[in-house]
Amino acid sequence: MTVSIRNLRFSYDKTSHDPILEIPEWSVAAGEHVFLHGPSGSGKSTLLNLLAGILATTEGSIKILDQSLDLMSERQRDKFRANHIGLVFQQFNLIHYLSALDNIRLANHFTSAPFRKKTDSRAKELLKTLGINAALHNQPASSLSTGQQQRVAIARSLINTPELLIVDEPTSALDSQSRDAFMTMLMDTVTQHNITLIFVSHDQSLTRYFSRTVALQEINVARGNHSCLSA
Amino acid sequence: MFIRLAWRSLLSRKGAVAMTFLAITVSIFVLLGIEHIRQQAKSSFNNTVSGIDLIVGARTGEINLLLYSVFRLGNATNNISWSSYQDISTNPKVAWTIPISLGDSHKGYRVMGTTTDYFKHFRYGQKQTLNFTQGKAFSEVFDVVLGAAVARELNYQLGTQLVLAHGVASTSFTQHDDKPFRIVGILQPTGTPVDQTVHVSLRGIEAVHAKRGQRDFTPTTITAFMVGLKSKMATFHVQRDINNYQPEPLSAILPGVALSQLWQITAIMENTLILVSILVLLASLLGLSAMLLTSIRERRREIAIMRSLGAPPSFLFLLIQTEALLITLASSAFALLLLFLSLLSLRSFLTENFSLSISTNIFDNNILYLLLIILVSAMITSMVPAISAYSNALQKRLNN
Repeated sequence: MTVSIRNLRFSYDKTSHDPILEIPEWSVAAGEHVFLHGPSGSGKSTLLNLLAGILATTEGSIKILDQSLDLMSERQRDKFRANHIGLVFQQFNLIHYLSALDNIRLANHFTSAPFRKKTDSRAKELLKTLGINAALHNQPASSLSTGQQQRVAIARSLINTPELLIVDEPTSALDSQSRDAFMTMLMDTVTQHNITLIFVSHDQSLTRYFSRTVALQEINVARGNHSCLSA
Repeated sequence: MFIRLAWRSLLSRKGAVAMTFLAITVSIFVLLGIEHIRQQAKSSFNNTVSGIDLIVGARTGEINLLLYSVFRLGNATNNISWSSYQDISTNPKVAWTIPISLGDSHKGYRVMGTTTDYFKHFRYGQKQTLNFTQGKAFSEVFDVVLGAAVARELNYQLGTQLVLAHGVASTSFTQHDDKPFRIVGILQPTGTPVDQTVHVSLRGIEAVHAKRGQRDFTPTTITAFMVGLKSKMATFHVQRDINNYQPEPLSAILPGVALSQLWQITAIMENTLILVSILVLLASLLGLSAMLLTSIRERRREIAIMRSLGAPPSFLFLLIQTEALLITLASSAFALLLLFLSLLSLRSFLTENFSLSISTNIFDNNILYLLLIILVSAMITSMVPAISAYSNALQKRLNN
């Protein structure tokens, strides 16, 4: 299993008895492409942050690639994320003053040594595959269009050949034509590299691209008002 | 990647970085400038006399005697008689003497009456002798030898005639127009007040002040004289003898001791200047720290992105430290350039007005130590923003 959750409870307030997430059991097999949806405030982004090791669990365990995130220190989770997990955020989160290539190089900078060989050629190849013209490779991220930034963000998430790719609402700013083009490109890329994908979106029309669809309410048994959450 | 990231990050905040850069540049310039001029002034003063065992003048303070006899600063309280000079110079313990007579000037440059022993025995710097660029020492009554700076600034050549003025002001109403002197020698530059001096014979000084019809130009008084002893062991003994000289009240000083006293007096001002410049630098470095700390607040999202990509705490710490280092290094380099250009343009002004020979070679050990201290201080003051860089709420920043 790429992802395995057991008895997960999470609350931002550690003293609270009313968790935001309470997932008794959930798993994602290697190579699976999972579409995760749910209403705003249901805890989707929180779950993704837990899976990425950005947040630490309050109770229970999360195993990614058979490694228990809950047993790792913050620093170990940072390192694990750099080596095994690709992240694409809703706002792409590129560093605006760095070029497209430098944003990708930076993601590669934090991985363990074996992954760091031939970064530039691989980054250029990824950008080319994702339709970014070579003339834009050295342009600052801030000068790229939303669509171009989105593709650079994907290239960045793939540079370290992650086993797990977590994508959070990447199509919310796109029109339907751009969205379909993006989804086709994303699915081709993850299939080609045999990457396990967890994709979060409100847009139910995207389910057709995925082998499995999960509504967060189905796996999250926590009760309470989650309207304060960001997702 | 690391340096490039720090550099691009700084470039993305040009305005704030430029202001911090300017503040640090100015403070480093002030600190290094004060230190360099202080060191050079001391070195210039210390290099002015070398190998002189005693300086003898009329009864006065040690520092005053040193200043007017060697540095041509201030005036003598009184003259000493020629007979006293002759008496002491024939002391068996005395190897040589250089009499000096001050009080006249030429276009603001001090005129010093002396004998040819001056060119033979006077030493400066590391016991260097006076050498001629052109010509030779005076031999006739109205011969004159110029210091290098006088010849250069007044554009005088050998054979040019000049007249002396009574007093030392740059404008004098009493010119000895009827007794012009002829330039027979020009000295090589020494970086000491010698360069600013017009040298004539004692007989020449006597001649310009002589009454009509006077034929004997043997001086009756001189301002002071320098003494070289046969044995250093006799220094204190001879000094005591001169200080107790019965026919006339005299003072004999050891130039090194008088210089030390001078430095003790100026130490308070030196330390105050250094303290002020250190405080200015500290304020600028705190400004650097504040700028970086503010930038951390503006860059929370950027830092959170780096953390989400796996950036370890050490990376973020070093990134902020590198930014501080780049600003401080650039400021130091610019301050050094500014200092060099300032010294280059102020050099002649300092030499002419203060008899200070300031070198434009700013890379001495003191300056390098100071630069090292500045860099270390910048690193220390940047620690707070560097540490705060990692302590961000990662998840909040990524989703906001």
